[in-house]
Amino acid sequence: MRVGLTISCCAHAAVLGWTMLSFSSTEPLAVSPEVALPVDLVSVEEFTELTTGLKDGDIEEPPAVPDAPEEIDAAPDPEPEPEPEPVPEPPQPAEAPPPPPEPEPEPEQAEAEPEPEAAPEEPEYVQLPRQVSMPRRPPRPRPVQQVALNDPAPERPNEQERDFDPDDIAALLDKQERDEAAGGAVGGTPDAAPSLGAPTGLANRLSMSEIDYLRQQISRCWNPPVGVLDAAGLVVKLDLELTPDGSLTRPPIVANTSFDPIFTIASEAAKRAVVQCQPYVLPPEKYDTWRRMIVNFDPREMLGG
Amino acid sequence: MEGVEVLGVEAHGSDLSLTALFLQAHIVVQIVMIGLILASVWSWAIIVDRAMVYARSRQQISRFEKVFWSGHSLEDLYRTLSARPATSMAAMFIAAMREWKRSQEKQAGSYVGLQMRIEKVMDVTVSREIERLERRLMFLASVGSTAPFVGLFGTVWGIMTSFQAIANSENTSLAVVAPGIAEALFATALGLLAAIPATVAYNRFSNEVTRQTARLEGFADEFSAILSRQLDERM
Repeated sequence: MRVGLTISCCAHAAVLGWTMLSFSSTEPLAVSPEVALPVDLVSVEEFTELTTGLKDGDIEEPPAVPDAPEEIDAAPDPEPEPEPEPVPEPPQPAEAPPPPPEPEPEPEQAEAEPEPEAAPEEPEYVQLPRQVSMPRRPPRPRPVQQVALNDPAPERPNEQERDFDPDDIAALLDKQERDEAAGGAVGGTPDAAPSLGAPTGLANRLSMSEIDYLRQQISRCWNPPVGVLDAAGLVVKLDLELTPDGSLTRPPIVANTSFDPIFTIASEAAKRAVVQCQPYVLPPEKYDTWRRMIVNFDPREMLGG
Repeated sequence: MEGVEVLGVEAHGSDLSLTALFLQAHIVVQIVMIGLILASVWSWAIIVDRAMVYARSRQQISRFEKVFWSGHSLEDLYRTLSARPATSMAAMFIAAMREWKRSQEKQAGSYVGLQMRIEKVMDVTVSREIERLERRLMFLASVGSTAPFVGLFGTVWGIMTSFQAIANSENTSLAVVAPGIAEALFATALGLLAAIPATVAYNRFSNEVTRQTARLEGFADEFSAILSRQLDERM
């Protein structure tokens, strides 16, 4: 037994000594510095406007975009004034020419245009440019048609100058939209040239501004039930089906249910609003996306502003 | 004991060395660690001792069987072996022969009784041998089964106290939590360190004991058969 004990003690002493030597120098974990991932923040609108990329397309001139923000910065100052007096208006379009290629014909139209535009303007018409600029394809005359659909009255002056280049009005309206948006999405330059974009990007979704515009069109006619405490139960979902010219193909269907007795009233109000305000103005080339829609009528959003 | 002293030698190593871990630990954890180290030392002592005992015993049995079956006269064998103290099979042989001799010297009693007496004597010797072989094996068994729990107890205690300390310091960064847990886990490591060899050795040794017992009992049966044949011849 003594032999065993001696051997055991020696072995333990040796093992403990060795572990003490080896463990005492435990190296701290080498934490490799994490590589920062570059992230680009893309607004929803920019994302929806991603078009199919062409790898062999020409590289766009980058300085064109930096120019635009400067103008936006400069624009808001003259903006408040034009409404009372249309005199300072001309300088504003005059600034616009730099982005489009031909600055020559622009000022003439700009002089002619702002007067009718500024004078008979209705609140709805403020929305118009946003709508018009959506296609972002200058060569097409469609924006003008849409304008006619919405408000025939202010459109007439434009028709007089049919001959002018639609490219320019697109640029002009686009600029106006930017002024309104106060430096919102500066985004893509409006041209049809292929850009580097998402492989499947067809830009056929309704962008946020288009949805906003539709909401505005509907909410004009909508009188939500007022004075109801629990507005949460009164969210009405309507299933709409539209024709290409923006009118309803059938009466709207209420897509959700609730046991709240006021829900019936709310849903009737929503239906009435939808029927009254047709036809709706939406980009026709995206008809596939808005042919059938489910629209939420939420009184809380309405009350909240 | 020695392990403990060795632990105490280097009091100020780096913060997470074994010495520092041991010294920082709570007193209960320290006691657990010391106990586990002692258990480990003692069980290794038993392992070494038993291994030597079994090797010697196996060797003796083989040598005795060789001599026994070589055809020498049993009287001569008895005379040479009884001169010095014998173990295992030789002890059985001597016990049986002594009983045989004693009965013959007296020339009294029945041979039936002699047969029974010889078997009894050999049984007693076998059981004594087994007892000798199995000595201290129970310690290995209990170390193997309890050391992990003891280590775990130390760990739980250590983590408990370190969490209390963390709660008091109101700081939850890993640097605060880690040393306490490392020191507590050290107790589990020691428990496993003591338990694993003990368990392995216990299994091996109990197997060895069974095998040697079988050999001894086989020899006892054979030898009593031989003696009974001799008795029958004399009648």
